[in-house]
Amino acid sequence: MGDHLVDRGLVSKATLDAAERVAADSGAYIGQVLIALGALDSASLTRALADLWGLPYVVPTRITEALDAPGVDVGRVLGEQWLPLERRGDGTPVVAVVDEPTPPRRAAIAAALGEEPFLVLADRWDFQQAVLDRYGSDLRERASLGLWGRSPSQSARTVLVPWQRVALVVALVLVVLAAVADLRAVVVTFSVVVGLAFLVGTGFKFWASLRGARMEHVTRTDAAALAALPDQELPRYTVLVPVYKEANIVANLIGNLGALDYPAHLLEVLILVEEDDTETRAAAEAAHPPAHFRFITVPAGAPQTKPKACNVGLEFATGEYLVIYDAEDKPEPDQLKKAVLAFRQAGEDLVCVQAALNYFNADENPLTRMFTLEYSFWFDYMLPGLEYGRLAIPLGGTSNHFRVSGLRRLGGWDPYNVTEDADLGIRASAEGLRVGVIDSTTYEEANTSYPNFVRQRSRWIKGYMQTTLVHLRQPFRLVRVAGLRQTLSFLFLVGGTPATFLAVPLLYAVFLASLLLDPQQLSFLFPGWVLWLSLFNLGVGSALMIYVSMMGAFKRRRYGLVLWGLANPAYWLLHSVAAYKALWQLVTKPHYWEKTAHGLTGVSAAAHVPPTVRG
Amino acid sequence: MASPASPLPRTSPRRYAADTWPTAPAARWGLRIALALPFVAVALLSRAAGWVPAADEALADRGALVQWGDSGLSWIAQVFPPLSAAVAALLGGSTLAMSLLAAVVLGFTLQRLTAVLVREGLGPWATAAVIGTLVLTPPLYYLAANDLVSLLGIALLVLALDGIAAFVEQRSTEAGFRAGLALGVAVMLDPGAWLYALTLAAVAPFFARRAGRSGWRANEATVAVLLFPAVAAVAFWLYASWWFSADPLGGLEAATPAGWLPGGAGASAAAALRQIALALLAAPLVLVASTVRAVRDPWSLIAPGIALVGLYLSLWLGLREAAGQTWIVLTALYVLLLAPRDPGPRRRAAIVVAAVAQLAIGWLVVLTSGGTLGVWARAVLGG
Repeated sequence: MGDHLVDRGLVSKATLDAAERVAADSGAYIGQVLIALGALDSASLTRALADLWGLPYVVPTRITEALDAPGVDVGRVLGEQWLPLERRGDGTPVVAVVDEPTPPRRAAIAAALGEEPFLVLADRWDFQQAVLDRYGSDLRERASLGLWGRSPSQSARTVLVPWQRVALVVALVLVVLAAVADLRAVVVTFSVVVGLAFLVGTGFKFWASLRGARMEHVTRTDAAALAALPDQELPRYTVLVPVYKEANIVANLIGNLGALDYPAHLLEVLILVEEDDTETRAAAEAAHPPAHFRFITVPAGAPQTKPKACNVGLEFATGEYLVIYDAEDKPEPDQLKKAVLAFRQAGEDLVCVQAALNYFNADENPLTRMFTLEYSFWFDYMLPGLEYGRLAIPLGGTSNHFRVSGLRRLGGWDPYNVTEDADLGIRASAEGLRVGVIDSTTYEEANTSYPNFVRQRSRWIKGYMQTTLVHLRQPFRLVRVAGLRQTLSFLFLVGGTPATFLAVPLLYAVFLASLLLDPQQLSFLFPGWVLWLSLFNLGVGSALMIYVSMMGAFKRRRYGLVLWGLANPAYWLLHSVAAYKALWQLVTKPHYWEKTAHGLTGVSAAAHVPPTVRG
Repeated sequence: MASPASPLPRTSPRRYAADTWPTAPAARWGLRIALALPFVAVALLSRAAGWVPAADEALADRGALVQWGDSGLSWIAQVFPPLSAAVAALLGGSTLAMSLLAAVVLGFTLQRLTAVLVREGLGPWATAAVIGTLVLTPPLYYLAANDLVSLLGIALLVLALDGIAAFVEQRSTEAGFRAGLALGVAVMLDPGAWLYALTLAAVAPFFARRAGRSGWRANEATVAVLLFPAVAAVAFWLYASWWFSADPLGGLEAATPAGWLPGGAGASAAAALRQIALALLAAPLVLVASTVRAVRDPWSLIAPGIALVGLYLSLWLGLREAAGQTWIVLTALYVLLLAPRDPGPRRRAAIVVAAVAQLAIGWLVVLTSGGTLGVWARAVLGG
């Protein structure tokens, strides 16, 4: 193969020798190495291979005619990597392949078509584009309705299933009747429910955080094992980067992801660009990404959401593992290797590992400071605490690393759920699979704008509401498969989070009222134990949540942020605004994706992340 | 650092916690029970001797003020510190139950102190000798049988001090949580604990500097995470007292056993100084270790020195009574702040000798002085 490339004048002998040494060390194909080194482009290599194997080379996207092959759908085309193109003059079907046409492969194609094919060789990336062109509507449908078609009860396409609707109506009727009979009793009961929701939500988070704190001196990744991991033992890795209206920052991802310590020939970065977003695509192309960065055009159509784009990306993923990053993400360079080690050391039931997220623009303004406090507590304490107890982990927005086979088994992401990541983590637990965490951090851009923050949070909280409703559709099944502990932790965390934020304004109102009124004037609303519960929540619950966020900042050694933890009550009010907006949207437009604008920061990522991440 | 390979084959952080000794849970529980049983026995003997535990009686009176589920809460200020009042109420005001609870708490506390000495590498003889100064002399028994509040305060102080050391030196935020929460709970249990909290917060930056973490931001953050639970607890209590009670500070004013600055500021200062000096003379472990440190690493005495100042202030203000408490706290300070790390055979022998001397002095002082502790000891021993 190497000699053939030299004979064709595609590479020099010296380059070939160097590439052969890398290939020998890494166990990769020489062609892959040459492409990764930039010595050869993919199309030239494919042409040379076609010549070597005696096949015609084609660019399948140039063939406008579509051969109708019954029984051959996009799943099969992508799974088996062959694409019927057209018929020759003699009626023989022309089929594009991307790998060596071994006799078994040829026989399988012939069996599928019912006739002997005429094989041609296509470049892998041209092949993918041709599939997108040919099967765009099918892909859109699979990405949008795949989970729904497979298991409607797991999809948030329907907000409430019939029994939930009936239960809601019955509950409302009962509340109205009770209010007519005894309004005070209803208000007191409401106070109790709100108080208990707050107590359980905050109590669970604090408990999980304390357990997470125990994990801080446990080294998850053995540094020696990481250093000794040879390239030839690394699997192929797919990186999905869904982007939308991000022309201003998309070029950054080339630098950010380019710093990943992973052999380029084993890495496939798929930038998922919406069909109507020509600006972002143009900006990304203008940045001249390296050979292993490729664009996948996400077919237009509702719902236009990140999970739908990810589902399209999953169709094209060829890696054994897969990770999602946002365009502005800056992961620690060894993150993929740590994930590989984690997967290898665990059983097949481990379907995903989550890296920690944190912010490079923490000190930009009060909002970014609070955001950083929150993420430090969430990813450094909460999630490790949940993992320690083997409880359901709601995934964060990015840096979730998946075992691709497991992800496909789960049906990918739910495009109708606006926190598809959290939903997927819970679904994994509900299916008896596991989610873990790794000790690696991805640095992101914290939201700098208050309206943007409320939009983003309203989506997250709405997604938690959706996720709660979806997974409570079959509560007995959930308990049976996932277990009672998993179910309760899911309820306390995913259900408890929106409930806590909805409860916050009521608790604050009571606090303000207490400053103005005598206890006797409020006693009709807070009799006896109800008062004790409210006082406990106000004093202890709030203080504990402030405390864990202070500790989170301390752990990250962001000492200047520690006292900002005291501003948490104000931060929770912002969450409450978002929570009520989320509740309203859940009723009026449940699948609407509140887009978070990125690239608003004036801070450079490179200057504000630890040196190990700068790459 | 521990190094289990994977995040997912179940990692067990407790296996790697520095304070977990003995490592086998059954042995750990066995040790706790063994350490608690003598205190149970002495508590029963104390009751059988007809001794009236004044401090526990006062606590029972405070507990009787608690009205569970009451929405008036006009009594709220009077029960300060509220957690100990709630404990007394839950125990039905029984002073025997309080002593038994104290024994249980001591089982845990002494096991932790033992674990600290094992962690520091003192070896079995020196560890046994140091713990022996506490479990083979009367002061701790007196406290367990008579003063639940002070005992809980000391137990939480031990927890906090141990946590602070790991928090600031090893950056263990788990230990920081433990220390901060211990201080937060302590101020709601023990009227003198706020002074300990302030003292420990003052000590923390010195630890931080030793751990190579300096700068006022780091110090401010260290103090903030240690003090926040205590400050939040007191602040919330003041708010609740203000809202419900006509005299929100009434509980604080009544928090001292013999009033603030007993006998006046000057007399109280002199008495406190005398008590501290006597307690130090009765604690050769502390004296020897301090002398060695003063010669080898004088800066390392700053933290124990500040803790000593805190102890003095608590005596001066009247937040602590003598009756062996100072001596117990000094011994705990030795274990947590002064004990040498991985001492050689000669130093271990010196520790054993000092501990035996301390033990002998402990008995001698108790049996020859006419103080409350001596009277109690003679009553229990049937003398």
